[in-house]
Parts: sequence; C-alpha cells; structure tokens
Amino acid sequence: MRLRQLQLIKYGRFDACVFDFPPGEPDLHFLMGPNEAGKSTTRAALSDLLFNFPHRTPFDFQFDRQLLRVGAVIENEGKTIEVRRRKGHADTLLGPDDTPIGDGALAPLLGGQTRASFERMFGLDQTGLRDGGAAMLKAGSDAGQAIFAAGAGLLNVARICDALEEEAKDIWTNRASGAKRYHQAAAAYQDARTALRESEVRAYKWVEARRAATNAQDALDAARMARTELAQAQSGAERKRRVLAASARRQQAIEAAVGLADAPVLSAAEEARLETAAEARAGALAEIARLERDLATLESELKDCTPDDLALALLDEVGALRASKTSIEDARGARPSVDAQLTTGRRRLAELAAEIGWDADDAAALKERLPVRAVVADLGDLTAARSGIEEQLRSAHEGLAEAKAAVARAEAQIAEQPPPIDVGALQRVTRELRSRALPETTARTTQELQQLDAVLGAKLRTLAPWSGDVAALRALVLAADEDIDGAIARIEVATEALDAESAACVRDEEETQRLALVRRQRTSGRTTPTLEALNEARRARDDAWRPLRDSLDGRGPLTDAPAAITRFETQIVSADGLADERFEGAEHAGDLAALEREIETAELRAAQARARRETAATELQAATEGFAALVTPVAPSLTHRSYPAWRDAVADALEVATGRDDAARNRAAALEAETRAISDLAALLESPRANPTLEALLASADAVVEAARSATAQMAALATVLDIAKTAETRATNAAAKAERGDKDWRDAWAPALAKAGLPAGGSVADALVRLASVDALRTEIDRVLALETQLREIEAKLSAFDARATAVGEHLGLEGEPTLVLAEAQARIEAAQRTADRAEGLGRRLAAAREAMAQAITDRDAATADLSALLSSASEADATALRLVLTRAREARRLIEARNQAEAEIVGHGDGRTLEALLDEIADADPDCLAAEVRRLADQMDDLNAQIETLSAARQAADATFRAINDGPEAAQAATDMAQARSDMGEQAEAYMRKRAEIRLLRAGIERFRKEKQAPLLARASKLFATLTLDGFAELTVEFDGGTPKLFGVRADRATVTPVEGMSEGTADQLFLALRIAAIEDAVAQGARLPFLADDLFVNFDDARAAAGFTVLGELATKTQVLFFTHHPHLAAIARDALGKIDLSICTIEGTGPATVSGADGG
Amino acid sequence: MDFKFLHAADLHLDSPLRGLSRYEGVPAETVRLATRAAFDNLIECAIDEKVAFLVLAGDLYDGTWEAFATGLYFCAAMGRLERAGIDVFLVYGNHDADSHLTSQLPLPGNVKVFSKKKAETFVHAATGAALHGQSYAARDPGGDLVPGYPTATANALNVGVLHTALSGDRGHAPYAPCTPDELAAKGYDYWALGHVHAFEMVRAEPAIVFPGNLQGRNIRETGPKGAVLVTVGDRAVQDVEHVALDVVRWTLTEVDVALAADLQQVHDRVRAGLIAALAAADGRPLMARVRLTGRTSLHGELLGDRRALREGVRAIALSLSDGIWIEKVEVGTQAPHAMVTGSDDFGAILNALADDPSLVEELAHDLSDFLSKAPPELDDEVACLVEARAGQLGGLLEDAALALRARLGMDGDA
Repeated sequence: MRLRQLQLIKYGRFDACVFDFPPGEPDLHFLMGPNEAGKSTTRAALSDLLFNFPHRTPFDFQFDRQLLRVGAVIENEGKTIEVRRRKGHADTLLGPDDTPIGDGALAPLLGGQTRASFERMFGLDQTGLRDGGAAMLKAGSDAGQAIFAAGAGLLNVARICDALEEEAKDIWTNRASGAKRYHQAAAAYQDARTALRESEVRAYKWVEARRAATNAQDALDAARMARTELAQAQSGAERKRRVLAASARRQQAIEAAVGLADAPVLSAAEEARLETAAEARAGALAEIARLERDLATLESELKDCTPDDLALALLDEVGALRASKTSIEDARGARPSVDAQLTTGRRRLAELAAEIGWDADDAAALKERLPVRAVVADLGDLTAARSGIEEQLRSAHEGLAEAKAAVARAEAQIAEQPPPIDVGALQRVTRELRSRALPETTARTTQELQQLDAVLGAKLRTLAPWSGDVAALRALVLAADEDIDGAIARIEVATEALDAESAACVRDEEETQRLALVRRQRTSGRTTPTLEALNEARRARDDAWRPLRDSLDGRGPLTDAPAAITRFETQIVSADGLADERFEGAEHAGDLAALEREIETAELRAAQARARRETAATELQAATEGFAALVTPVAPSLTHRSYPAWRDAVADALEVATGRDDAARNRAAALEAETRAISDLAALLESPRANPTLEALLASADAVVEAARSATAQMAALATVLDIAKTAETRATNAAAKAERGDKDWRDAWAPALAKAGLPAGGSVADALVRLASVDALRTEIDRVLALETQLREIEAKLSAFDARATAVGEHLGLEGEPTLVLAEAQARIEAAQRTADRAEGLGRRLAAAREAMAQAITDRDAATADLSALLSSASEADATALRLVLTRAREARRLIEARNQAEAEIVGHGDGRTLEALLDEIADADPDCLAAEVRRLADQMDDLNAQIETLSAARQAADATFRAINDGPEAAQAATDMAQARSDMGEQAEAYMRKRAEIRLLRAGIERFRKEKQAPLLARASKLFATLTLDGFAELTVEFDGGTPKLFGVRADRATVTPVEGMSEGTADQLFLALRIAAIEDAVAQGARLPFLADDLFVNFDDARAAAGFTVLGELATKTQVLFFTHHPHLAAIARDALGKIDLSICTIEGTGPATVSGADGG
Repeated sequence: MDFKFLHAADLHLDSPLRGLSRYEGVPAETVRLATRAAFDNLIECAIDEKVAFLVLAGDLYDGTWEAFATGLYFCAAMGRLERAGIDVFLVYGNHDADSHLTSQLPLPGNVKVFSKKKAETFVHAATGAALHGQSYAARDPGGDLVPGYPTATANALNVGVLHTALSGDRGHAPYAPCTPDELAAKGYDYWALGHVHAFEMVRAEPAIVFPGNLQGRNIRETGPKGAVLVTVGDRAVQDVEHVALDVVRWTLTEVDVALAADLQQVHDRVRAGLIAALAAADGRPLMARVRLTGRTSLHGELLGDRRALREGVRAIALSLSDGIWIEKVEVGTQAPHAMVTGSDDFGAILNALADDPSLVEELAHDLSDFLSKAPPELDDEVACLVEARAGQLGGLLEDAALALRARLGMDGDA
C-alpha cells in the first residue's frame, strides 16, 4: 500500500491540513519543516490512522478528543480507498463522509503489522540510527547480535539476555549462597523446621512427665508424714524436759516461803511509795542545810560591792568619741598632703593661663573665662578640616596639570598616524574567490577524473573476451538489442522444447518397456481349462450324486455309503475347481487384450516423441547459429547466457566513459577558473611574484586587508584616548575650582571662631591647636584645685569639733590636759566602774536563786514527812528504821510467791495445752538424764529426715518443672506458620527462577534461529547497500567464524582488507546499521508488509557525499515501497535531487508557526 | 425449655495458614496464631451466648500435628467452658483418628466424647436433648455410619453428630458417605456435620448443616468462617445462624483489566478491588489473592515482570491498610486476538520455538539441577514445578514468549 494523501483533519494543532504524495519513481517524498513544526505529530498521526488511537493521546490539546480526525487516501494494487480514523473504542474507522466502515477495512493492507512492529520496523530516526550504530560497536563483531539488532529492530538484546542471567543467578545457583533469594528462603525454612522440632513436645513425653511428677510428689508426701510423727515425739520429750526444770523452781519457792509466813503483805506499789517518801525526806533535809550556808556567804559579798555612777554616766559620750578616733587621726594625717597638692595645682593654673594668653588668676575666676565645649568643638573641627582642604587644593592642581599633558600627548600621536587605505574592493574579491573554493574544486575534479579512469579501466577489463580502448569501445557496433533478445529467446524456447521432448521420449519409451514386461509376466506358465473338460467334470459329479439321491429318496439302497460320499465330494471339488479356473482364465484373457492395446498406444507415443525431439534439436541448432551470426563480429566466444551481462557491462563501461569525459571537462574548467582568478588577484595586489598560487595571493590579500583593518583600529583607539583625556581635563578643572571655594569658606569661618573661644586673633592653625590643648588641660586642672580646697576645709572643721567634745568630758570628771589624753583617762575610769556594777548584779541573782531553792527544800521535806506519817500509822511501826525492816521481809515474801507462780505458768506454757496437774503427773517419774538422751536421739532422726525431704523436694520440683514446661504455649504453631511462610517464599522464588530460565533459553534460541534464517539474505543485500553508503569504501560484508561465534567484517574496496565492526568509525557503524535495517525492511516488504517507511532526519550527521549515497539507497527502497523523509534541513532536498536525478522531487512543507490551518504539497 | 447450642467443626487447631510469603508490613503475628484466636472466639461466643452445650463435629487437629501444647490449649479452653457450666459433645474425625493427641488428653468432665466402636447417645441433663454420634476409629471409618445411629429419643430434641462429606463432590475425601435423605429418615431434629470446610445448610427440615471450619487456612477457604448458633424452642430447632469467628479473612479478588490502558490503570483497578474486599472483611485482616483477568494488550507486559507487578500490588495493599497480606498475584489475563503477525519475524520465531520439543528438552536440561534439589514439599506451592518434574514445560515457554515480547518492547497498543 501507499499513501496518496495524508489528511490531518483535526489533530494536535493541525486543522484541515493535507499532504499530497503523488505517485512517482522512486516513491520518495520529503516532509519539510522547522523544529516544532509538527513532523513527529505527522508520524504519530499516520500510526493512529493505521492502528487506531491509543487510549491516551497527547494530541487532543486543541480539539476535543471526540473531534480528533486523521485521514488518508490509500492506493493498493490499483485500487484507491479514502478512510478516516476517529478516537474511540469501536467503529473508529470511517469513510470520507464520516460514517463507520468497519475497523477491519484496513487490516488486509497492513501485512499483519501491529502498531509496535510497524513503528519499530518501518520507522527510523537519527536517534535510532545512532543507537543502532553504537549498539553494533558495543556488541563487537558478533554477527548474530548485529544482524539481529538491525533485522528485528531490537537493540540491546544481548544486554537483556545478560540481565536475565543475572536475575536468575540472584535467585538460585547450583552452589548454595546466602545472597540468593531462593537459598535465603530455604535457610529460613530450615530454621523454622528446627524451631518446630525444638518446640514440639509429643504426647508420650507429656505422659511420662506427668507420671514422674506424680511419683515425686507421692515420695515427698510420705517423707513429710514421717517427719510429722517424729516431730510429735520430739515435742513430747522436749516438753517433759522444760516442765521438769520449772517444776524444780516451783518447789524451791514453796519451801523458802515457809519462814516468812508472818511478814506483812504489801503490794508492790505501796512498798515503792514508802521507799520514795523516805528518800525524799532525807534529801530535803540535807539541801536545807547547804542552802543556809550559801545565803550567808552571798549576802556578805554583796554588801562590799559599790559602783562609780559619775563615770558610768559618761559611758555613751566617751564611747562615741573613741569610735571617731580613727577618722580624726586620718584627717589629722591627711591635712599636710592636701595643703601641698593645693599649692602645686594653683601653680599649674598660672602656667596654663599664661600659655593661653590669659592673666593668672584664682581657679574660680579662670573657670568663668573658659569657653563652652561647643565653641571649642567648632574650633577643633575647623583645625581638623584645614589639612584636608589643603590636600584637596594640592591634588586638584596636580590633576589639572596631568590632564592637560595627556591631551597634548594624544593630539601629538594622532598627528603622527598615516592616512587610511580603502581595501573594500580587495575584500570583496577574496571573499568571492573563497566562496567558489576553486582549488578544492580543481582537486576534487582531478580526484574524480582519476577515480573514473580507474573505474573505466576495470570496466574495460570486465569486457573480456573483447579487448580494446575507449575509442574501440565507442566504435563497437553491436547487434540491435531486439535482434539479440529475439535470438536468445529463440534459443531458450528451443532448448526448453528439446528438453521437454527428450524427457517425453524417455518417459514414453520407459512406459513401453514397462508394459512389455508386464505382458511377459502375465503370459508365462498359465493354461485355461477347456469347456469340454469342465462339462466332463460336472457329469462325473452328477454321476457320483445319483446313487446318493436315490438312496435318500428311498429308491434303492446305498451299497458303500462312505465311499459314495467320498467320491461325490471329490467330484464336487474337481468340478468347482475347473469352473473357477475357467472363469479366472477368461478374466485374464480380457486383461491381456487390454494390455496389448496399451502397449501399442505407448509405442506410438514414443515414436511421435522421438520425431518431435528431432525437430526441436534442429530448431535449437538453427537458433544457436542465428545468435552466433549476430555476436561473432564483436565477441565470437560469447554465449547466449553470457551475452546479456556482457552487453550490460559494455553499457556500464560506455556510461563510465561518458562520465569520465564529463569529469575531464569539469577539471579543465576548474583549472581555467583558478588560473583566471590568480591573474585577477595578482593584478589587484600588484604582486611582483612569478607564478603565484591562489592560496599565496589570498594570503597576501588577507595581510593587506588585515594591515588596513589594524590601522583603522589604531586610529579609532587614539581618538578614543583623546576623548578620554579631554574629559579628564574638564573634570580636573572643576575639581580645582571646588577646592579653592572650600579654602575660602574655611578662612571666612576661622577668625570669628577664635574670638568666640576667647583666644587671641592671628597666629597659625598650629598655635590655635596648642592653645586649645591648654584650654582642655586648664579645664581639668581648675576642677581638681577647687576639689582640694573643699577637702581642706572639711578636715579643719572635723578636728575642731572633736577637741571641743573631749575637753567637755574632762571637765565633767575633773580631768585636765591635752584632749586625747583626757579622753584616755576618762575611758579607764568608766571601765573600772562597769566591772564593779557587773559583779554586784551577779551576786544579786545568785542570792535570789538560793532563797528560792530554800523554799522548795522546805516544801519537799514537809510533803515527805506527811507521806511517811500516814504510812507509819497504817504499818503500826514506830519509826522509819523499823519501817525499812518490815518492808524488806514483805518484799521477800512477795518475790517467793511470784517465783512459784512464774514456774507454774512456765510449766503450763510448755505443756502443749495440758493442765498443771497433768503435767506434774507426767514428770513425776521422769529422769532428766534419760530425757536428755531421748531428745538428742530424736533430733538426730529429725536431721536425717529433713535432709531426705530436701532431696525429695528438689526431685519433686524438677519433675514438676519438667511437667509444667509442657504447657499450652503457641511456639510450635508459630514455628509451623514460619515454615509455611518460608516454604511459600521458596515456592515464589522457584517459580520466578524457572520462568527466568525459560526466558533465557527461549531468547537465546530465538536469536540463533533468527540469525540462521535471516543472516544470508540480509547479509547479501546489506553488502550492496553498505558499499553504496560508504561510497565504495567497503565492497561487501562477510561473516567468518571465530571459535564457533560468527563474526561480522567489512571488506574494503581492495577486497583484501577486512575490518571488524569494532574497527569501524562511529559513522561507518551507523551506515552499516542503516544498510542492515534497509535490507531487513526490504525483506519485510517482500513478505507482504508493503507499508510506507518513515525516515526522520536520518542524514543530519552525514557529509554531503554520504548523504547523497544515503538518498541513493532510500531511492532504491522507494522503488519497492513508499518512503516518507522528514527533515528540517532544506539542503538535503538539493542533495536528494542530485543523488536521485529527480528534478521534481516531491516536497511537502509543514508550517512552522501559527495555527496549522494551511499546508499542503508545494512540489510534485 | 428454650435454649441455644453452638455447632462447630474442623478446628484444625494450630494448623498454619499456607501460601503466604512474608514481606514487610504484613500482620504476621495475627496470622501465626489465627486458628487459636478463632478457637478463642468460639469459646467466648459460647459463654457470651450462654449456650447449653457445644457440639464439635470432628477434626480438632491436623492429623500429622504432634505438638502436645495444642491439645493442652484445647483442654484449657474446655476447662473455661466447664467453669461456665457448658457441656461439650464431640466426635473425632479422620484427622483426629490419625492424631496422637486425642488418646492422651486429660479432658475435663464436661466433655463427652462419642465412642469409636459404635454410635451412642448422650442426654444433656439440663435440657433433655439427646445427642447421637460416633467417632472415627481410623482415618477411613470404612463406610456409612448412619445405619448404626440410634433411633430418635421420644419427647426430646435429637441431634446427630457426624463427620462426613455426604455423597456429593464437596472437595473433600468421601469418608462415611451418606445422603441427606438417609439422615432425614433418622427422625432427628438437627444433624451437626463436619468435614466440609465451607458453611452449608444442606437441608432446612430437618436441619442438616456443615458449619465450615473456624478459620480459613489457604486461598481455597475464602469468605467468612465460624460456627452455627442453633436456637431451640418447644423441643424444635427455631433458628440456625452462621456466626463468623475467624480472625483473618481469605479472599480472591478478581480484577478485570480488559479496559486498562496502562499499568497505572491496572493499579487503579486493583486498588478498587482491594478496597471492596476490605469493606467485606468486617474489619478483619485480609489475606488476598489478586487475579487479573480480561483480554488486554498489557498481557505480555504483566507477564514480563511478575515481580514488579507483585511488588506494585503489595505496595497498593500497604497504602490501603496494614491489615492486608497479598498472598499471590495471578496473571490470568489473555492476549488480544491475532497479536502475533506473519511479518513480525522475531515474535513469530519466539512463538514457534515455544512449541519446539527440542527446546523443551533443552530447558528440561537447564532445570534438571534445580528440580533435583527443590524439595518435594514445594510441589504444593508451585504448580509449574509439578509440571516441570513431569517434563511439561510448554506452558513455561509460552509464558516466556509473551514475557520476552513485552520486555523487548514488541507489544504496544494493538
């Protein structure tokens, strides 16, 4: 199929855009437009038209997707259909009136292609070409890969193969590895299996553990029971022993109490109270005696102790004076120093005033004359600004002088420059000569002539057995093509007829021989029974039957029945056999007659065939002679088979000879043009050199032009320098004026500022600065002198006040003398008076305390006496001593009763609930020694039993722990789940691995089969295309095997040098890929997929010659199927026109700007 | 008197959930103890509903399961029911007959186990209900057990307890075969069956019921799983209600991607399918198999990188919930019609080679090492492994051809 017209009705930014592709030979069309004009959109539109819109389309940005339409007028095998495609799910293929025509209407034209296979096989752009070339270089010389990549349109298959291998290895390798996913899952599976085994406790183990735990518990219980019984026996013995000791103490108490039967019975409280009262009374009496002695002593001491009240009255005043003593002494010591500082300060004031120019005066007066700080600051600013103003003045005057000098220098340099030269004409001539590339043209035409000479020589050599030069060739008179073709056709017809008749002759003779053989075989050794013999046999049968029938009918007896029956049966067989043989003989005779007729017919056919063979042989002889008559004058030995190729070679050689003549003329013209150019340029340059070359003259011209250009540039540079210098002079003049204005302003401000500061007029700025410094120093010094005067006055006042108060104290105490000494003496008197007063106060306090203690002792004595008096009357005792004796007896009697009670309580306490009487009975006959031995024996037994119980208890705990360890925990279930999950992981990885291996195996086998089936035809066709594309730099492609691996090589033009793919340049690899791709496309076209080939800017990286070769190849392809060439390089159209020799090349222009409402074919 | 009882079967306690490959973000801990948790739900349901008794119709454990802890767990649960005053009547099924656990377990007094020797009757004292049943003495009890079941007790609710798959094809071994008519003829009020893992109300009058198993354990056991709560009034069955007690739910999510234009749209449809499945799971974690169906031009691409597809679906699941576990992603799609073309040389070669017996032999050789080392227990997980062991590699190669076409970029929009 081919496109007659492509319609972008509403598609992307296109609106009613139509491209016409008129039929032509070759069927190659340019679609030209700048970048972004819509070339890719047009390619996509064609795919959408042929294979339906994809679900999502990027071309609905201008028109609603329901409105999208792309259409075409398609020609196929003489028929024309017009279709449109809309976007949708069904009924997307429409007729020109937008009505559905069935989505399958295009299918027969597509040769089974899908969108993907169409775009992969029938589309190629610059990127695809580059990638293909690069892939070939990367794959090295592996022919399988190279041809596969080009032929199948699939790049990087080797990489995919390798990637699949890696992916499979990541899952599983024969050698277990923790890095492989399957092995990881398998390891997890084993771990989980181990965990399950460890956590899985089975039923019989649980039963055993339970039994062991029960047994251990039973043994422990028995031992504990024995221990309980033993403990009871031990307790009884211990009880007896304890009761026995208490019983002895009880008996002792009872016996001792017999001697105190008359002692009074006092309670413990009464006894304690009596003893306390007696001790309190004795203590009170002793205290009273001691206090009476103390009171007498204290009263005597107090009477002798009288304080000095006069001195004590001055206690505060003297204390205050002593507190200020230190500061008074400091003031007294500081006074000489202050005096000296004051004297020095006043002298400094006089000096500073003299420096300023003022009369010396006191500090207060000088302070009044000091200028305020703002006035001083203004004056300081003026003095500080002075140096800047002077610097500006100096700098401005110097700058002005330099600027004037620079202007003068620039003017002098301009005056020295030579006048300018006009080289415009010379430039135009050289530019034109260069654009004509005359030397290159000469070299190229010379090279072309040489190449054509070589080609012509080779062509002439291929004309053997004819030989001669070009002139002889041109003089050669060949028979007319029609005559030759007629003669060849006649030979071929005759040859074919002779072959056919010979074959028929052989066939018919063989058939005749075969039939004769059959006849011989059928007639040998066969006889047919006669009718008489048959009738005789039948009669004999009937004769044998008759006696039997008579016997059966009862007409007569049968004499020898068995013999009769045997005879009858024999006769039946004989008659039937003869009948059968006669029947078969009749059939055989019929067959034989038919065979005879066939033999006759075959012999006739053979004779006729032999006659026709003779006729055909005669005709062949005549045709051969006729052909020989035509060719013998030029090349006697040429056969009718070799002649057409020889004739084509003659035509080729003549064509090359014509081309060679053109090349010679082109070279002469080029040489002439170059010579004329040299002459003209030499004249223009007035060159004195003999036989200059064009390159040398152009170089000279360039030098002249360059010198002129340099001089002009120099003059322009100098003018620029002068302008800059004049501008600088103006700026310097302005700066000088500004500096002078500043100087005047300063001078106007200076004298008033001095007057305002009270400084003398006149004098320099430096003088003023000195005076200002003195003013600052004077300001500081005045403040210091005034402070010293104030300090001296305060010291004097302080000393006078102190002396007056000390003198008053002395007068009060009757003391005289220097105030400091009077004060010290007064202090001594006051301190003595204070000590006396303190002692009198202490004695007073002690006396009061003693009197208070005396009163308390008397009270205590009286209370104790009262207590004792009451007790004595109740005890009927005369005095305290007797009372003590009674108390002692009563206390002993009570102790014995308590001891007996305690012993009895102890007996009952140890008696395990038994009564006192029962216990006393139990030990009535007890022997303490035997009892002790029994207790020891029982204790030993108890120790043994406890050790035994400990052992049994440990065993019970162990058995119990073992049994309890078998719990209802979920560990086994968890491990089983982990196992199941790990197994699923393994399964997942196993499936992935097997799928990868299947893909690897299938892909490798696919590549190998593709290579085997496609390599030879693709390689043969690609060889020719490659030679064309490389301008015959390579003659062909070849495949050689290197250790079983097929390697692809290019054979150079000399047919001796071979270059592996990796030895080719990048560009040559691209051309190799292109050759293989186009060969593959031709193969697909030959298989019925005759679809347009879309070439998108394929040759932008080719030089013009190779681009032309590329168009030659595309031109050949375009004789087999339509080629649409998209480009944004207009110059390629010119190259294509030259390469294809087609002036009216079909070119459609795609508009590059604005809405695509207008377009169409502009050529055709 | 009016009362309720609970009927469950096929506990398969501690039996692991199968077919789940672990990956980040799945509810693994829930899955590990799923059958226990479902069993706990059964016990709690019995207590909460204050049922009079619980009927267990066989297969308490997997037959090959040896861990005694499982039996102890069962006993502990029975102890809880005893404390709640709930009796348990159980028959042992084919799995229990193989199990070493059943013979040694010290079952509490509230559990009544039907004899293995012949059918017997227990009368539930509180309700007067008569329960008839017989345990399996061996994996295959050797025929129909129903004729040996006692006649119905007069004036009592009669419950038959039997482990059987009946006589139809229910995907389980045909032990103790019998027919619903035969069961109905016994005159019982309720037949508590076990063995079939899907809930089925075989007949309403009298009620003949399979409760299904408590917890689905693989992709063949999808949908709600649990027990049957039977309400009895006037000595007759008044209501039969299936109660879902499973803790994780299995689902097969079929996603039709016929109209998906690209992988993103496939993902969108998968997401929608999983959201619907989640909504139907009653808030339970979901174990999902995603099966893509439909005739689509993406068929080759989906087959081409199964791992990427699987990871993509898992990522979608994770984005939806932390309670979805993608068990498997099945590519059940079909290629568009007439995808392979005569002039598509390499594609045609791949398709032709996929049927080439010599290539099958070569692939078998490639896989021989792996197959010899892959443990037999994997055969249950991977169907193509079984085929490969039998030398049937055609399916693998056909899939490989499609996958390669996709990987080589040979399948675009058709």
